[in-house]
Amino acid sequence: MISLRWLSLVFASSLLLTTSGRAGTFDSPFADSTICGAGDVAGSLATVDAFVLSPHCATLCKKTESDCKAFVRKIAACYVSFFGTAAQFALRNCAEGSDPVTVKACKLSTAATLRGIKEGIALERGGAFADCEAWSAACQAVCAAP
Amino acid sequence: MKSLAFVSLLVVSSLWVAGPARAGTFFPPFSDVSVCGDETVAAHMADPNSLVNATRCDALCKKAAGACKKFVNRIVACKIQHFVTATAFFVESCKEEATPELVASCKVGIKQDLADIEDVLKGQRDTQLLQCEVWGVDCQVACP
Repeated sequence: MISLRWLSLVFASSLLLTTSGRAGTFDSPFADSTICGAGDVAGSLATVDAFVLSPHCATLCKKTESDCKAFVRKIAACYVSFFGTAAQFALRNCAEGSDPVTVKACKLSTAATLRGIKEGIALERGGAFADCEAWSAACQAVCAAP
Repeated sequence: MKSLAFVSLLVVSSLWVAGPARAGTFFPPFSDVSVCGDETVAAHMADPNSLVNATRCDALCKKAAGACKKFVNRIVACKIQHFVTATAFFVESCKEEATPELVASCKVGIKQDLADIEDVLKGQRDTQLLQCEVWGVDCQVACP
C-alpha cells in the first residue's frame, strides 16, 4: 500500500515536472513514478504480534525494523533516480527552446523543482523510517517478558 | 497493469510463504513484494513517438531505453532482496523447532524454493529488459 503522504508527493512531483519544462517540444517519457513501489513498507508488514511465540521475539522485532528501513532506503533511492531522470529529459527539452531567456528560466525552474522533489522524498523517507521504528516498538511491546 | 507472469509469480510466492513445509514458530513479516514496485517499466512509459519533435530524437530514444533498463534492474533486485529477507526469517523460524530432526526437516527445500523464485524473477527481468529495447527501437523508428 502506498501511503497518502507518498501518493501526494508522487502526484505533486509529476505535475511539477511536466509543467516546468515548457520551453521545448517534448515531455519526459518517464511520468509514472509508481513503478518505484510503496514508500510505506511498515504498512506492508505482518501484524506486530508476528513473533510473540518466539523466544527471540524482541531480537526478531529489531531485525524486522532494520530490514524495513533497508527497503525504505531502496525505494526512496528509486524515486530520487526516477525524478532525476525525468529532470534530465526536462532540461533537454528546455534546451530546445528558441528564446535564450525562456530557456534559462525553464532550466532554473526545472532545477528548482527537482530540488523540491528531492527534499520531499527525504521527508517521506524520514516518515517511513519512523513507521518502521513504530512497528518495531509495538512488536517488542507484545513480546512475552523475558 | 501487471503481466500474467507477474501475477503467477505473486501466486507462487504466496504459496511458498504459506507452504505446509514451513514448520517453524512464526512466518516472515515480509510477504508483500509489491512494495518494491513494478518492473514492467516500458509499459509505464510515454508512447514511443513522444520524442519525435526533439532535435536529438534518436539519442534521446537510446537514453530513455537505457534508463528503462536501469529501473527494471533496480526493481527486480529489490524483489530478490525481499525474498532473501523472507528466507532468512524462515530459517530463523526453523531453528526454533524442538529437535534437530525437526529443524533439519523444516529447512528442507527452503534454499531450493528461493532459487526457484530467483529464477522466475530473473526471467521476468530479462523479459522486461527486452521490452525496454523494443520501446527504444520503436522510438527510433518514429524519429524523423
